[in-house]
Amino acid sequence: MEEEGVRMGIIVGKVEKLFKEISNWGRKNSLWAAIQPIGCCGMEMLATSTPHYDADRWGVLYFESVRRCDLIIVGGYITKKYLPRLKYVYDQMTDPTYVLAMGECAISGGPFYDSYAMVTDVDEHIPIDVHIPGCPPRPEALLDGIRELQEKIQEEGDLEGKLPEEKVEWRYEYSGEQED
Amino acid sequence: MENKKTRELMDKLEEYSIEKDKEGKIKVDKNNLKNICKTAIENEFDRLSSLTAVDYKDYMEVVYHLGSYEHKEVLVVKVKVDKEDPKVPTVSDIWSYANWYEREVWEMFGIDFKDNSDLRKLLLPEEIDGNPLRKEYPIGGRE
Ligand code: SF4
Repeated sequence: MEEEGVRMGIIVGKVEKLFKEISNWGRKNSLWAAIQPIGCCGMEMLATSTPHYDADRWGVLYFESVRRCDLIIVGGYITKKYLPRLKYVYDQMTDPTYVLAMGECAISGGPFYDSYAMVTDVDEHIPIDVHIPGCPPRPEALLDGIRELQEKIQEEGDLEGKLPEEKVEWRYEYSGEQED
Repeated sequence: MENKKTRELMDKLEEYSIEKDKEGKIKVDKNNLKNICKTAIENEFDRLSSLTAVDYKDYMEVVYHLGSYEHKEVLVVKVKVDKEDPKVPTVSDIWSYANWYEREVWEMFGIDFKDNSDLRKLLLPEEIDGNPLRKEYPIGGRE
């Protein structure tokens, strides 16, 4: 078989791979974001969607209904009290779900690392795809993180294997249903 | 003259063996607390603007700020409590909104407000044990 690629205007390659590429291309260019502007990072996050920075140019649309979103931007301090709610939000979103951790707080606790109320290992609870350091990261940094995520999506598709089994468990836990 | 009304009130409270300083703060015994609050209300210091506590390692203090809209002055009342057996009478029967303050102080410092039947966690999630604002609480909740 000939090498994959485009030859004389004809796409050569496996059909599944082609479909995957096309679906990945679609996914990466229409990220609907459920935003979590919990801390001061939220200001930068909101600014990113305003006309000045206009995240919509990269296909990122902030949307109210988490059930229709596939990107969650966690910006700010996750407290022990908030963590179950964050998981609940994550759990309701469509699959595949991508997660951006924005700011030091969401990554490791940041300036509140020593607080009794902080969750310093959000990564243990929901799988984070891209970490954006900064306190707070500027909108440009957030856009850079989004671009990085898009590259990752194009390469890895639905980031296979990242959908944790627990996600299914949470679903039952929170809805009160029992698995048969 | 500054804090005129506060000084007047402090003179009236003399009978409850208070310890006063020149900034308008008084240290009182916990058994006299309720009477002092009632006297303060009669003298238009009728608003409990804050109720909090401080951990001084060897002992703790519960701090009440009694404000007056009438005179625009504040009286600070401090009650010393034992660290091993911290008990203070509740003021939630005098000011009903004191209940939330007391619940917060109870969960953060472990101070028991006698006769307050509604001591439940207010801000902390259930899984946090201990009293985070006490000095001996491990930093970050990590042992
Ligand atoms: S990382 Fe900094 S700016 Fe962002 S929420 Fe934490 S403290 Fe605020």
